[in-house]
Amino acid sequence: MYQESEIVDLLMVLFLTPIMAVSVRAIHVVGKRWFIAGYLAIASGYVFTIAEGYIAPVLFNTLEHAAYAVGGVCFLAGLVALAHASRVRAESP
Amino acid sequence: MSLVTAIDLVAALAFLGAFAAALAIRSHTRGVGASLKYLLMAGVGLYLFVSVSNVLEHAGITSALDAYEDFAEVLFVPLVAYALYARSTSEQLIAAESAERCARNEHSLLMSVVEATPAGILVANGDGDVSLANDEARRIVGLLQQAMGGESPGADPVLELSAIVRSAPVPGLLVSIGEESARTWISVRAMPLGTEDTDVARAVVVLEDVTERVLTERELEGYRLDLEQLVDRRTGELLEVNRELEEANQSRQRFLANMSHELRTPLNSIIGFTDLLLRELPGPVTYEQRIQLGMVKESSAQLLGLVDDVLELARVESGHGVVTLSEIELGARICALIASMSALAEVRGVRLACDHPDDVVVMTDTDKLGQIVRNLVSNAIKFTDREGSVTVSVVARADAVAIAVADTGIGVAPEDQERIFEAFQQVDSTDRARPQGTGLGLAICRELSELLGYRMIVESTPGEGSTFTLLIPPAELVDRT
Repeated sequence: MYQESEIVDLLMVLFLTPIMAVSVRAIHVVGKRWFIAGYLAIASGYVFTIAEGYIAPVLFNTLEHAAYAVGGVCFLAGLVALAHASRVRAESP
Repeated sequence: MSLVTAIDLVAALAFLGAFAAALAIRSHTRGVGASLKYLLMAGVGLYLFVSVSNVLEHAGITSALDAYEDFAEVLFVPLVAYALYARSTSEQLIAAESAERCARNEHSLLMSVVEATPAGILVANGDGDVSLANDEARRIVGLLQQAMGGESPGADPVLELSAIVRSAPVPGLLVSIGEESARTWISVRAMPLGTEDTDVARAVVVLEDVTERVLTERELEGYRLDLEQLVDRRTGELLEVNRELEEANQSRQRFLANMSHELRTPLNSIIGFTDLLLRELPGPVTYEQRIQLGMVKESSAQLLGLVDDVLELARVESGHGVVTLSEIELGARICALIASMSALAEVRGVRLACDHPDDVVVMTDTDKLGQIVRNLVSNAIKFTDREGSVTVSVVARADAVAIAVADTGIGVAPEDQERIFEAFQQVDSTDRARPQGTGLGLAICRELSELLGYRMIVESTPGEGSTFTLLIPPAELVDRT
């Protein structure tokens, strides 16, 4: 079965993601695509964690944790690129 | 270790690395811009906590942190939303600052240009309120306001600044202000400014004091009129002079025709009757009378030659010489001409020779070319001592066909080599025995050669001889191959 906090997480994702999608087009950040991918991976983890309460619990539990791991790798890649760019910019005359 | 535990371990390590990378970000802006780094650290930190909790839980170490995972996960999405908002605001702020800096620079540049320009530039609205003006514009506006004041009650309303702005665009308007004695001309141009964000009409007005230019133009116009009158007057005078010259030329032609008849006829009679007397047809003459009659005949012949030369020179100089072209074999023609003068050379004891190639054919006026060569040879014989020689040669060169008349005579000093081609000019000679010419032969040669389009040059060394060369341009050559 599901927990109340998981439902709140999913509602937040469903409510805020469309709004953020509009804003994200206008901003320019190095590694933006990695961050978007990481966010979507974690958001999909919220879906999997609810789904595991109803069907194929082992599979969806594994997918949930895998989604977090993918999110972590994506954030790592994005932040490494951002840190590198900030260092280059700081060192440029 | 289960698969899930392994995945959680990978997630934990990835988020740990991401947190370290976020920590390494160098922020180059302050305020909202700098907050992105900390928001990223917070978001990554939350899931670092979640993944560590999962590892501990699934590894069977402890489940104590599991109760706090939900709070961490709930915070994540709002945190990301705020990070996006902060970043967007930061970018807008940076863009606004950049735009403001750019606008300030452009305004500064515009003001520098406006102040530096010699014309008056101002921006005003439809009420005549000036929001920007340079010194020259303020000066001219002062003049306009003065003209619109009590001093000139009848002044043109167009001088009002508000009227100018409302009339924009004004492509170019010339107005004058002030008294006649001290009038000032102002050139006015106006371009409307965009009124999308304001209801008040505004315009850029360019005012230029063109008094000096207008006065100069008027002065130039005066000069132009004076010049036109002067040209008309001079043209009239020239026409009158031309008419007089034509009349004089006609008189000259009539005089030459008369002289030809009036002088040649009695001279021929004198020569003819003298010849009859010398042949003793009317009766015998004494020795002394024969000598004197011989002098009369010789002098008459000289005078007839002079008259012929004067008439020929006059005809060529007046442009009445008619050129009749025909093909001739130059060498043969020249040598035939030389042969006809051999008697004269024999009398003077001068050797006369001719040297020419066989195949030179030119298109020329045979009579005039013959007269030139005859005059040159006659001169050469006249000024060459006994036992001397005169050689006529025809040479086909690359740049011209040259007819050279070379003698071993007295020569011509360098300072006289141009003068001898003028009419009635002769080289001074102390030799009384040498026959005196009329001084017209070389002048006629030069006139005739110019008429034919030829060139004549002289090379001479006093005491050694002279060479007169007539250069016929290669265009006159006829190719018979």
